[in-house]
Amino acid sequence: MRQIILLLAISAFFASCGTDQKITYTLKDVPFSADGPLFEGPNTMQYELSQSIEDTLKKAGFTAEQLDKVQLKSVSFESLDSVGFGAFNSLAFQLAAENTPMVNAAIINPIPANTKQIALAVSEEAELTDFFKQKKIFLVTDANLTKDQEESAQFKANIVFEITVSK
Amino acid sequence: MKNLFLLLFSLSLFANSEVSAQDAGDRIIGIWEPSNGKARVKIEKIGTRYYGKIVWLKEPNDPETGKPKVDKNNPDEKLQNVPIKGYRLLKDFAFKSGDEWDGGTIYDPENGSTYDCVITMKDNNTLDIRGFIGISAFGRTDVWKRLQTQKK
Repeated sequence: MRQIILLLAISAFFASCGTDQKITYTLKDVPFSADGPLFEGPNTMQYELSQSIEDTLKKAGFTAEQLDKVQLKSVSFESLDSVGFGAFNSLAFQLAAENTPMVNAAIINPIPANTKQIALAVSEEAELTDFFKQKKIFLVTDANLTKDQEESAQFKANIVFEITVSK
Repeated sequence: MKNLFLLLFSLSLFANSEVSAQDAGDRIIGIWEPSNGKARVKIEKIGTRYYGKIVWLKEPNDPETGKPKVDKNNPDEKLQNVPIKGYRLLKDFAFKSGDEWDGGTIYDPENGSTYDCVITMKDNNTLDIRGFIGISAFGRTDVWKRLQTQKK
């Protein structure tokens, strides 16, 4: 199922700056869900990403040793529920891993009314390189509900990273 | 045959100790209240680590703006709009052994500072949360109480 939902797109572009090269690493339709009833306040949803960055780099013609830097470029969420994001007032996106401190990577606060798709403001300072040296990364979303609800919540996310590799 | 039996027996003991260590670490999961009673923090597990987020605030709104409090002291400008309600102020704790979780940090939203932190469970309903810089001896301990009381 994961393999079906998680579509990995790699596009290497050769706008080389000096000896570095940038690769865009996109995770499409990453599922996040929380089973109802849900309570007012932050509700956590997580997705375990066990994709090896080595494979991604290899497909682009690089080795893991050439990995220099990883930055988050964009995160957008789509609600799969009929009410959209109406019951939520903010949403935060974080990364966690076994041997790397959790990082706050993006936020939207407040969420505009009557919307089914949202784009988060991305931290430019979040240092993500060490996450991609781990075997497992946990993508963690905290969605703040304005009031209790019986229904579950289902989102899917498109997440774009920029990987810098040294030639 | 005897050796095989011993090997299987040893492996099962090892597997059981792994499981019980995991269970022991999970005792910290729940909702906790710091001594000042200004917030409630839900500790949960992500992967093998433990994290705590603010789920309730006594004063949810900023008196200056009248709006829900945000992390205005965060050194990262892009994250100054993160709501305090929902904020993960305890991060990356690993269960050490006995009654201790370490290797984590605690964030103080009032000044935007992050401290190293060790958590000790005094009993099933009481945590000592010790924040420090560098050496644990130089720090401050706060006592947190579990909100939904469990048997001692």
